[in-house]
Amino acid sequence: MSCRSESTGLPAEPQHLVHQALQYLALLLVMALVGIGPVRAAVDDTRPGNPPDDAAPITLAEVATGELLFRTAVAGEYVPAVQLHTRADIQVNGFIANIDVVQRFKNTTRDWVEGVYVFPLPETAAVNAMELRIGERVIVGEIREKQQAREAYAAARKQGRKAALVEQRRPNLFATAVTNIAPGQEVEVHLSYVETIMYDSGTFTLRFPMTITPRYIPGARTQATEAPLGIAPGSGWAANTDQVPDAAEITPFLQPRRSMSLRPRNPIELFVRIDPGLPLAGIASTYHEIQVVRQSGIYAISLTGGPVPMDRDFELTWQPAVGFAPRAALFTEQLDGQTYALAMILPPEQNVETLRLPRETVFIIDTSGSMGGEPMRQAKAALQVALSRLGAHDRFNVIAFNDWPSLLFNEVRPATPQHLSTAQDWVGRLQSGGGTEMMRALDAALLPPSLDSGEYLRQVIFITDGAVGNEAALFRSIAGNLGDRRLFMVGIGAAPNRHFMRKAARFGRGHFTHIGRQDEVERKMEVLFDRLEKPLLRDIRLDWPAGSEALTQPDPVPDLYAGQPIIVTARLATLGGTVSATGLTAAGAWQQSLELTASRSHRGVATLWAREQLAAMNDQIALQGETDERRARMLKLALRHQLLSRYTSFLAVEQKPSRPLSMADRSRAVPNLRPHGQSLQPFAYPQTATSSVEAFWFGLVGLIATALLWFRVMTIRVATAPQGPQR
Amino acid sequence: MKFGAHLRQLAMIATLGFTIWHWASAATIRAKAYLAPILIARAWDESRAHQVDVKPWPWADTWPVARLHVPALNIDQYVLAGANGAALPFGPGHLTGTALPGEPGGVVIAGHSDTHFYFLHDLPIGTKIVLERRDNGRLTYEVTDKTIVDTRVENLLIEPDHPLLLLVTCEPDSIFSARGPYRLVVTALPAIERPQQEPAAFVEAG
Repeated sequence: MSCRSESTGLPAEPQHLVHQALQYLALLLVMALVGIGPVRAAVDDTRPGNPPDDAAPITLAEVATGELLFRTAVAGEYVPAVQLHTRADIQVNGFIANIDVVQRFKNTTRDWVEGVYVFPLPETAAVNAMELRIGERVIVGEIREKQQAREAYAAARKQGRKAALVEQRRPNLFATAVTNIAPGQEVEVHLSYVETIMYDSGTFTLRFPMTITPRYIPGARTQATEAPLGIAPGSGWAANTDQVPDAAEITPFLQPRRSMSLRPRNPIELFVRIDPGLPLAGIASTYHEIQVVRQSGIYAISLTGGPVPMDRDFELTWQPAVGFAPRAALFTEQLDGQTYALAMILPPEQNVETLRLPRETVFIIDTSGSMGGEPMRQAKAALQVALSRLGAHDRFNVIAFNDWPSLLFNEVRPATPQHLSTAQDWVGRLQSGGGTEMMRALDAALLPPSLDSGEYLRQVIFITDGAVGNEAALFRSIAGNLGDRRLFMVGIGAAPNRHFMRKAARFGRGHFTHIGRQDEVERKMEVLFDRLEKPLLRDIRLDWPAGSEALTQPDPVPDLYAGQPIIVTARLATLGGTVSATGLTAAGAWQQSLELTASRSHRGVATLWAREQLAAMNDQIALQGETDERRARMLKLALRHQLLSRYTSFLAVEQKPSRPLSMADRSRAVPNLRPHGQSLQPFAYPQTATSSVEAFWFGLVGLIATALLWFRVMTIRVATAPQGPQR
Repeated sequence: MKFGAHLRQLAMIATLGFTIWHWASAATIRAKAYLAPILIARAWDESRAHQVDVKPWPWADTWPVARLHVPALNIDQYVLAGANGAALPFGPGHLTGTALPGEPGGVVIAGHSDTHFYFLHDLPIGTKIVLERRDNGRLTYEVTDKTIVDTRVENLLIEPDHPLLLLVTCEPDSIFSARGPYRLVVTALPAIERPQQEPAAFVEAG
């Protein structure tokens, strides 16, 4: 009621009359005492306000308007200001995939617009070409230092020239900005990238991510949300924080949930052409319906029924026919007088009976808000399967976390039927909600010192969607606190943060499994548990022939789990000779060699090598921090190999201006789709009452007591007063 | 006899002190709620002029993010950042993590039931609520629903990306205290503007 203006009529309740009187009293009192304090700008005043010119950078508040969704004839149907249509052409040759992605932006408004689209690509993607196409015109993108590219883009935007900028914001998160799109116009941004096909347990896997699970941003909001040049600052829903200084760049908006029309939003057409070089036993798509056409050993795959909405990852798997499984392979490319090679060696399966060591397993389950719905059910099911696999000699504990970790037991307990049943009940009751303070959960799992680690195989199994923005800090924590443990990641949901999963498992010396659907839980967890039990190939070394001056990645080669191949990229001075791989298995030493002979040149091998080098440097920066020297090395390599990286961006600028400067260019975000199966975001209710009402009543009680006492004192005085003079 | 009177006088002073203490604290709460908008108004003007967040006083942990009008009830308040103890004593707070007015998604604004959001209790369905943004953009909502929820059993569920406005305040379960597990939740949806007016930023949810 204090918020009503004074002219409002008297409130009905007497309680509030008293309050109002009190308020006026207090108002006068405090006015007199306090005076009016100074007003201070919380943000640095040096930053200029919005200059009034038309091409001014759009402010956060402006981008964050609902105008990015326009009203249409159909009630409840939204049309984004910038419509996006994606087409992906994937060409697979053996272990290497070359992918062309076309993002077509259509301006549906009557204004000139800038479209900003933040999108995922595979975490191993090496983006090496970009083009901007406006009708028949093709403008080839150049690789530039990131900040330079942003400045040039901002300048072009201001001058009314069409321009496109593609940036890397995380190894699996990219952004395209296209500016000066005329009303009703369509422009296309073409991207090309190379990646290696995963090969594991006799299955090839190709993934194409399509949307982003919103990432949790930990830390305190930093006041000065610095606007990156060029790309609109408001392309994200999160404010930058001390822990995630670029939060606004990695948190794209999601589209409204419901769609009345049958036409998919953010539609994608997808075509895959596989030249496996060997006969296949089968091709399957895990989350989409596909059509497969085979012609002279080449398989052409397309989506059944045309374009689909980009709301879940695309995953394609294929198996070689029996007896044709590759044991070793070599792909080479000659470039600028250097030889680049991609080598694959698959150690044979060994059925060695090993002594099964008792395990000490700590499970971490993510119960944050982003896990709500289908993901939470999958996570709980996975954890229940895992619990049922524990043996009587094992010890375990479960940590569930959102804002804070909560532990099932104070410390690891033996996996007795009683403890297991307690655990199963506890897990069954878990609910999603709240933040994703992953660091606290990891600390709870990794920091307790080992009691008698010699007798136990210590493992941490981490079930999460990886939707966090502070990946680097988490990697540091994992690498620093791991000790003799191994960390196994179980990725959950239709669009998990695979970069986080893969790298966390790498730094945790474990393995990464992804569960995208409820019916995959059993099978994937079985594979994971086989991995936990089977002997590893450790201490892997590669000996390259003398004089080859091999520069290789990954270096050292991480431990292998059963069914995984060694995949190495190398730059060699000369071809010839053999590379020999050695390692330790439970059965003893293992050795295998591969002849380095020239074959036909494979497009993309050099790019993959450079990408692996960059990834290694990136890891080093994540662990040891950014230095000028590391930055310079990465920048040089990325520029030389024309690769998109954390320090380089692709930029294409049209020569002639097209937008009349009398008209404005408005920035519009292209929203992503909510990952399939993810549910509503729950929040805690805020505390919305003060103690003023209680205080009023307490005060009243006190006043009544005073009045009673005063009355008593008066009556005593009256009673005793006349007696005095008589004595 | 005299000693007894003395004791009573002491007790009287104590009870009077008790009264003053509690009424003073109640008055402080109200006074803060009443006075803060004077400073906040200046911060808001500054914030609109420079399009930056401006703290109303140097030690504040909050800043105005929007302005809330209910023309029918003559309500005009500044919405502060954060629905927590740092903001709510001075004005209704925008729940961090929910959308800001105009962003795709639900906007949640909470206010104290005994000060700023007292008016929610007698806010009729159909009332127009106007949110004004820092960039002078105005969004009009219409109250469609009022419910009382028990926070012990229910979460505040926000439909992501769905442009609605939720106003939340405590629902007292007795006249002696405004605190308790119950909340009054007022749901407002973007109002459909008449076609001849400016193009509407939103359509009503279908």
